[in-house]
Amino acid sequence: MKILIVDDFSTMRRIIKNLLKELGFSNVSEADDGNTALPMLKSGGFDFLITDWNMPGMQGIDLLRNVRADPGIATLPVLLVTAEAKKDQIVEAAQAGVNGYIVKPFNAATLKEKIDKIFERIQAS
Amino acid sequence: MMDDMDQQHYLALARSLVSDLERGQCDDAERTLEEITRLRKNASYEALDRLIALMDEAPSANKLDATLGQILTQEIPEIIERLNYVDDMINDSASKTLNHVERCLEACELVKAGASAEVLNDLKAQTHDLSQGLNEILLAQSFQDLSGQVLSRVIDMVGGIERYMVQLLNHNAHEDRTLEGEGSVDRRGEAGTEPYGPRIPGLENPEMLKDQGEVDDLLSSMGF
Repeated sequence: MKILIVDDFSTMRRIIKNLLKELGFSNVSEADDGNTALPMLKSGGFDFLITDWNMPGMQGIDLLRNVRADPGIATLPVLLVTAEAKKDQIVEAAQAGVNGYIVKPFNAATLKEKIDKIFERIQAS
Repeated sequence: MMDDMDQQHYLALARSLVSDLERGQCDDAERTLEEITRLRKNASYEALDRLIALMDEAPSANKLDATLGQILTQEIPEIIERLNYVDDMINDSASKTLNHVERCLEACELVKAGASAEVLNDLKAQTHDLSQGLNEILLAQSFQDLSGQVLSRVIDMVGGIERYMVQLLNHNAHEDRTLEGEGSVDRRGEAGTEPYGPRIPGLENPEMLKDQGEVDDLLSSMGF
């Protein structure tokens, strides 16, 4: 499984990357905002997207919308991992078609739980 | 505080006072004395007024400009520099810790793989504890992301105040007071996709959810 992590803070990308490695996912790429991530996703091969919301350039919510609007990658599972925790924002992300929402600070168990849940649902459907 | 005109006036009055008295004109002398007293009173009030005016106006305007100038040219740039330094330091420290953790985790994996062939159960157990600890340290570095977001928000806010004050100063110089654009200092709380940033103790927003549990509840209420 090939995963793309998008966050403007390299520290957070490395943390998620290492947590994913513990969970058995080692094929992980990184991007620092939506503008960098979108062409990578469009060029294909990714099975899962983990993205922050608040980034310079293209934000996570707009990256999600762009993914859903592109027929080639529209069904890609997307997990938002963000410090943004306003009700409106969570509703907005849900309406834009997010598959999971983790609010920072988070722990390893939460990351595992949300990833497991997303793939359970995908397999069930 | 006597100018030439006052001096001439006093001299004339003094002369007429002397001549009144020499001629025995007591009433005239009395009037002259009153005139002199009135003049002296006026002179002291005028001096007092001038002093008050000096204290009130002249120094304050200059001082205000000087203070504002100092805030703009020294203090705000210094605050931004200090905050940037703190941000860099946190970033460096988190990076160093992550480098060490990654190396230790790799060593753990090597020991785990090698030890499984031998009967080194104790070592395996200890290595498991070690990698758990290292993963805790790893996750703890997320403070850099959150504090970094808060710091860049503060840096933006101070920068906004700086630009606003420069505009204010420029507009004051030309009496055109239509301030716009960059004057808006704080982007928080706007509707739509505008990011709000991490939840900060003491700056709670009722619209913000407290933890992952509340986020999960909201999403499940929407059918997630």
